[in-house]
Amino acid sequence: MRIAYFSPLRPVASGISDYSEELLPALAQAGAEIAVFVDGYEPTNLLIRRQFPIYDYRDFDNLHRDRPFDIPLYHMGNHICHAYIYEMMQRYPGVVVLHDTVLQHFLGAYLAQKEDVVSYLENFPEGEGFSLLRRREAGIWSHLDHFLYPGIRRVAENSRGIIVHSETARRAVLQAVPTAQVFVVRHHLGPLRSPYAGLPSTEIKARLGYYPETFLIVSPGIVTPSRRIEVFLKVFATFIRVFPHSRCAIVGPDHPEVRIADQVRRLRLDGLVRVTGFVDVPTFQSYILAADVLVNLRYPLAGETSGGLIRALGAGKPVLLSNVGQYAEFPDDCCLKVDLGKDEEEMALAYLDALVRDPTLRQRIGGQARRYIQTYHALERSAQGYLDVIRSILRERPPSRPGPPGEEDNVASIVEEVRREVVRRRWSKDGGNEFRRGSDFRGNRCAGSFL
Amino acid sequence: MSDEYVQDQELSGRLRKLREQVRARSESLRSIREKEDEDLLYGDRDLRLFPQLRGHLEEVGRLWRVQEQPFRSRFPILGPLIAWFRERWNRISTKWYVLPILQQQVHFNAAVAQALQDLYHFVQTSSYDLVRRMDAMFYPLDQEQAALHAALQDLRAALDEQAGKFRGEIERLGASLAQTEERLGASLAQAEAHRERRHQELAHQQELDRRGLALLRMKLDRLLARLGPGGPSAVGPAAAEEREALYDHDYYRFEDLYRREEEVRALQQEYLPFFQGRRNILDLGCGKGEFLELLRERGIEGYGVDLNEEMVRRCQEKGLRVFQGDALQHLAGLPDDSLGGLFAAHLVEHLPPRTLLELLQTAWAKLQPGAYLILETPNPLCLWALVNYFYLDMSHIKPIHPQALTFLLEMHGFREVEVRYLHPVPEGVRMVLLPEGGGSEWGEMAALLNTNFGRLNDLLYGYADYAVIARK
Repeated sequence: MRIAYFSPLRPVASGISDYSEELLPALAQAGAEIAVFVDGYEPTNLLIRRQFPIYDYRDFDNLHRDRPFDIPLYHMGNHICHAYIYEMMQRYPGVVVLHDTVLQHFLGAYLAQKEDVVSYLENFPEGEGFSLLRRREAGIWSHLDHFLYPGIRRVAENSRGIIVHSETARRAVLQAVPTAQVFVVRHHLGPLRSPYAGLPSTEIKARLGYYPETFLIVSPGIVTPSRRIEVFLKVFATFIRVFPHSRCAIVGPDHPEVRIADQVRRLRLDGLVRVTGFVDVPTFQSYILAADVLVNLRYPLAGETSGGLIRALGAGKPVLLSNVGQYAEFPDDCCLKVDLGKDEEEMALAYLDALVRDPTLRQRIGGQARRYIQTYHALERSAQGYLDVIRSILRERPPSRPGPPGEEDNVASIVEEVRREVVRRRWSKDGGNEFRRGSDFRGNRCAGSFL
Repeated sequence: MSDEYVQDQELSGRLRKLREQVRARSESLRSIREKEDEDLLYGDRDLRLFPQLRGHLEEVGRLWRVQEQPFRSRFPILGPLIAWFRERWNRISTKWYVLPILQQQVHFNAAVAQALQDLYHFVQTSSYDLVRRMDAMFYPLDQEQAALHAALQDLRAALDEQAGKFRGEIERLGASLAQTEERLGASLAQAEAHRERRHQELAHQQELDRRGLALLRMKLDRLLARLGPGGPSAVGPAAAEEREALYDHDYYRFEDLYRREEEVRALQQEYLPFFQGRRNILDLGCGKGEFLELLRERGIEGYGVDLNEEMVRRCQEKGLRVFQGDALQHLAGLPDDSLGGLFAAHLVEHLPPRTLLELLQTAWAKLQPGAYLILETPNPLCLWALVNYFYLDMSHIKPIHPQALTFLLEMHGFREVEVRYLHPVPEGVRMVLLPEGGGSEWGEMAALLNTNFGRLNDLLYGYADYAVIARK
């Protein structure tokens, strides 16, 4: 099976880069022949470079014409680094791995970059699209809006099959596009790359500059406004009054809208919370291995499954996570589910209290989590899941081989151009331009005239 | 521990419970806050505390303003005139002086009344606020106390439940222990009884072995004696002659004369229970088939063998299954363990000792395990029977002592050997006892004689027959 694999890789700072670098060798091991397509850079991972042919995506046309691929596999996420993948999947429909079921961040950035309103509008029902675009232009746009309107219509309609990582994500995709063909392949547990793997956590704590007896609470992963760091820090501020020997580490880069340092100062937690910023994968994993408890609160959700969370659960650590969406799918004995809303802080505090007092409870939950992840999220199992999905799609609809452009293609492109022009004119007629003054489509400015 | 994931229900339940506790606690705190807000609105508690205060204040409010009262007269006609004069006189003589003082008083009253009202409002507001604050402070404490009380109750209930469980467990363990002890005691007693029984069996077997050995020695001595001058050829012909002599005369007629069928049937009734529920019962020397008839009536399958042709014919006429032939030969020809029972009435006294031994040996081999052998024969302990009965039949070879027959049976492996004395000599034949007088010399003599007569009666006129009942 010959697969054209489209995904960001390192140095692009994305969880999907790490995901792909772990998955690629497993897919090859399972028997797939893979060529990787990136957006004009050289991947930094030497092993990937050695094992797989790496091409610029612009070479795909020629390569595919010379020796056709069975199917393209697109990794689509909610970040502008996926722009070329978004475009390629519309030209060559294939299997799309939808890492996020809400693409508003991506669409906003893409709209700002390309100024292609038609492309944006086509991702929503007609009225909703115009409304969203007007609000974006007018700057009446909240953080929550990024999560309320999926914007995956074009992706779904231009794919031969969609892979997601959870049942919740599957339902979300089907709700947005009921005709989509959606498959669930669990997010894999990647190989352990920490230099301290195998050492006891007390030893790893010491290597990371903590006292061995410190009760270490770690929040792993990139900090975004959805990560509820403020809630977590408030809980920690209360917790440390009762358990002064506890410390907190936020392992991941800060976000301009979050500004962890300010919150730490405000809560008088200076010196008690370590914010590492961006760290490499081995260091990231070391913090997970050192932790006594991990915290992965999230809301709102974009349908993503956190690789850091899978790693944390797979490491046999008790993890506090939000009792919502795909995270609520984990069995009750594998993690500590924190309700959203009024009880959130108190519940998180109650869990921490129970965990710090009962090492056996920590071990039991961690053990169950490790077993669950190793059973259902094994890398080999995920790779096999990918190939099973691709095989079933190919069986159902074999790939059409590319031929020289003919009259049909010309007609199709003309029809497409006409259709886009119609949509563009309707948008102009609808009065969108009225709000476009000085706006960059990201909603960073507020248009008073609208109000 | 297996690395395959299996859900830990207990752990899931524990974490779910923790979540629910937090939710419940949070709900409780919310309701406290709601109650607090509600309390801020409740009514005039000062009025409830000091009911007269509002009345006094109202009175002050009514009375603070001192008003000039008009003059009146009770006289009907001159009254208005008198009032007018007094009014005029008052205005001239005192009003100019009293009125400013009155106004001053009214002003003072107004100030005091206002001060009292203000004070009342101040006290009301501040006490109201104080009470509200106190309530707000105490309400959570009350709630907390209630929650603690409830928790304590729960704890106590849980403790009681656990204690109950423990008590139940202890009682169960105690009962189980007692039961085990009892079982152990019973087992020990059973083992002891088994050991004792085994010991007795072994002792019995030992005795049988001892007797068997003695008999074998006797047989050996006899054989050695025969092998001496006469040689082995003497064994066969002697037995053959004896047997020939036995059956030469018309035994059927003899039996017919002295052993009546009805009497025989009546006497043999008591053997039937030993063959109940068994099959293939053999009546050796069945004679006229009285016992076979009894078996048939009870539905017990059996057959007979007899040497006498007349007897066999008579049986066959009755529809009984009877073969003519030599009892011992017939028996020897049967498969081992095939007979459900063996019965021989008045046969063994017709056999020479060697044949009797062969018969017993063969019988043991042919009987099924647990089956009974019953041999009935004249009782040599009764002289009357010997004289009038045994020696009446010329084919009788030798009376057999019950103990000798018992010994032989045991020696051949039979167990539970029982001797039953049968058919007592008719009372009229026995010696009559003397009347015994109380206390006199004759009476004593009569008693002595009676004792001796008793002994003689026992010796001379005891039981005519006996049967040995033995089991394989």
